[in-house]
Amino acid sequence: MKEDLQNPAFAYIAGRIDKMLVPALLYFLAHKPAHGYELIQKINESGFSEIEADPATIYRNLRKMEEDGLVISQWETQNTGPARRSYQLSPEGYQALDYCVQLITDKVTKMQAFLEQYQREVKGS
Amino acid sequence: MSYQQILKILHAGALRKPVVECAKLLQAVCPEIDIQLESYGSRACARQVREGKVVDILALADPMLFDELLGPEYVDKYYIFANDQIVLAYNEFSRGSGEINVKNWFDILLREDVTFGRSNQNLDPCGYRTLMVWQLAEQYYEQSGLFAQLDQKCREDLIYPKSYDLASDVLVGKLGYAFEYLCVVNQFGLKYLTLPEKINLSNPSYAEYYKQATVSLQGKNSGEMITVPGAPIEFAISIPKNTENPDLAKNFLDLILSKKGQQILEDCGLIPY
Repeated sequence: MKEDLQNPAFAYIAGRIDKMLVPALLYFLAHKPAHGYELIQKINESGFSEIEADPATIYRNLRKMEEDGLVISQWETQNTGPARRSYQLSPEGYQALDYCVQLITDKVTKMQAFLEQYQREVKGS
Repeated sequence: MSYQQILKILHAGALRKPVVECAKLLQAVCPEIDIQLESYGSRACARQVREGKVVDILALADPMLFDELLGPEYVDKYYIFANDQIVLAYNEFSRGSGEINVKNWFDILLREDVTFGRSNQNLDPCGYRTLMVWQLAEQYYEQSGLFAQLDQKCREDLIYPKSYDLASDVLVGKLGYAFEYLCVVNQFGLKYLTLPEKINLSNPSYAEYYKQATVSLQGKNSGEMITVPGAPIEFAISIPKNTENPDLAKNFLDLILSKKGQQILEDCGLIPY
């Protein structure tokens, strides 16, 4: 875990894990490539993120994730009609998702321990 | 014999600053080209292309216009590149601006001594989006009749051809308030009130909700009317099929869609994709 923190992208994720926005973006992109419009809808429907997934926040995070090498973007074009920028996970993005899961698991374990101790010592059950 | 290449760009007024900035960048790399910019409300831009105007780049404030008015005869592919929202713009001397907030803005606008404007829905998407905001506000604030009151008070002389001109009149104090894109407000350095996401047409999460608001507009052919439902605000750009300079147009398109272009769009107050 300490080695992971030497990677600036992973350090960024660790500093914001409580907000759950980056893990949620990585999670949805692990299913399939998507454009920002779709991701905003999915994140708000899922309730995974602790912060409001407004367009400015989502696109800024996607650009940051691209700069950090976690996602790759390209214009999804057909021969005709509308084209949108589509994002997909890079191999480093999959590693980042695994890292998020590790951080979340650690947090859940600690919170579970807290709840159990509370039930046992405060509520006496 | 040498001749100067001309890049003709027709764009929504709201995109004035980012288009100018990208044009300057392209000009710096290709000083030999002559870049000609023209701006109108986006529906007016699309109509001009339909009526035979030849341009190399067409940048509009609503992707729907490419399908509704231009495809497939004039444009076959377009890039949806940014998002925005409707805000209420004002200046520091606008009457009631010291007390205006997200709960009372409509009461202030309806005061006798207050003026506010919007753009023309048949020329400019900001116009029909403003009418949608008013409809959604009536429901959101549970103020029966609000749409009709706002519509009645916004007299014909307060309805402008394009949103960019509205902002300019708010800046000089000719108009108290205007319903505007946030990017235009930023370009003019105006004060503004952010409206709730459920009514400001910014968030794709409310795409279904926005559809409740509808506006009737002049259609493709004379006398024809169409009904447009509310949708999140997006901007789109294209190289029309009859471009005379496809390579130059492609250079401009690639620039506005690039990382550098994204930065310019963001600096101008848009949310780049």
